[in-house]
Amino acid sequence: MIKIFGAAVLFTASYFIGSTILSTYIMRVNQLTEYSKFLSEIMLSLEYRPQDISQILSEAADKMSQPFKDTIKQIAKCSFYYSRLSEIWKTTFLTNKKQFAVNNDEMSLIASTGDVFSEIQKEKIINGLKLNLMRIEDLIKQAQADKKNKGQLYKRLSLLGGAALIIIII
Amino acid sequence: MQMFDSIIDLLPESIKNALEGITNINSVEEIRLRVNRPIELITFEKKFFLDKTAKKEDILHILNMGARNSLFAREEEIRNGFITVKGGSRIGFTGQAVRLDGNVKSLCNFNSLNIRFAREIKGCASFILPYIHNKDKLLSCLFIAPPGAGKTTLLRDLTRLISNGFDGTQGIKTGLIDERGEIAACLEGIPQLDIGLRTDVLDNFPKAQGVMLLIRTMSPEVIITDEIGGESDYEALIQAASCGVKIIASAHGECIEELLSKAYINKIIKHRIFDRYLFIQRSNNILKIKKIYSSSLKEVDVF
Repeated sequence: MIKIFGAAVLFTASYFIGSTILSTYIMRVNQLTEYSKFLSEIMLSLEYRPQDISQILSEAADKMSQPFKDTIKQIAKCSFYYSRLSEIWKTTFLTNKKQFAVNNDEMSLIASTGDVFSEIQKEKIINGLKLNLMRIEDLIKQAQADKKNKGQLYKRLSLLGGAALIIIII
Repeated sequence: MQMFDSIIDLLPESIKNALEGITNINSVEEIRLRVNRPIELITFEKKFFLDKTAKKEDILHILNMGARNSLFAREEEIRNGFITVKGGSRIGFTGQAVRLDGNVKSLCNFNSLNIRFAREIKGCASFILPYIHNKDKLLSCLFIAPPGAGKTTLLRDLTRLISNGFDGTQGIKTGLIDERGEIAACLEGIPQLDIGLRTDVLDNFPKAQGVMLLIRTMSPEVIITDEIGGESDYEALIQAASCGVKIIASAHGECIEELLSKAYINKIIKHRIFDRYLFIQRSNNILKIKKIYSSSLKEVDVF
């Protein structure tokens, strides 16, 4: 009886571990996709409704989910008090890094987006954002491939590991 | 003091520290920064340099703080060489032109900067009031003074007085076209300075378009604007005058000859748009009337 109960617990645990690993990959894709939508939103605002960056960011953040929402709102608030938006952007994203599912390369790209706002001309900012968006789209493709290959693989491996443990225990 | 604090907030720490020892800090009118040269302070009493050299980063810091990290949203202002910051103070600057098809599109590589403090002195226009009325009727007036004499401060207080009413006269519907955002010092559309209860403001609005918009939408009895002199200003004023609206404006100048030498102001004078031309001067930090001319350029007694 105890063995059957232990086996069930092990199987459930291995299933959840596998699912958690897979969901990290799914979250990574979702976050990158959300960020790309955010960049598009910012570009549209800049193009058609040029207003203060704090306002643009706040409005765009309202449409986002966590952890982007709080991080971007934090940047918008700080933009009143500090002169270098690129530094605020980088620092805020890197400080909140643990809340994101993206990897280091992806985070460093997201954290460097703020650099484009140091330009004075709107067109240059939009071009900078377009470049960022293209790179994010490449990263999304990579993340989707990772989700498909690695995510499923880790899920299967954890289930197999669980099954192996159950066999050993029994 | 609040105005001064709002400017101090824009400065980098190193400049704030350099200003700490200044005793007559409240009388500062301008702070001038030039890259790799000492920072200059202009007060009511004197001009002097601080023991601190301005860096390129200092200028960029002040501009970024002034524009709330949104210089891109101020392209028009940058092209004109100044931005208006919270509280109505103006930051003028020079730098390298970004040209497109032969026109200056923007500025970059800023090398000089001038912070001009906006001042709200309630009651400073009271001495003008007897000269701008004729049998209880407001007259169209042009105030003329050299740059930095206090025209904007005077116009602001005059707007407040005309709008609220004074000496028993009732206030009137006042339209203010604040093209440079210095008179009302609007922040997100809301005037930061007292411009009266009956004043409708067009903030950062070109005078030419603003005049007709105000007449159509708000039916003002008087339109107040600053620093006229261009062709479009002339056309706008003609339109306003033809609608029977009184106009109060300011222009740069020191004497009537100088005024007449300016092509479009000359035209404005010939059209007799203004009933009075008031030459203002500042001596010992007090605004005074130097001379007054009627619409036909006859000198009017200053009592």
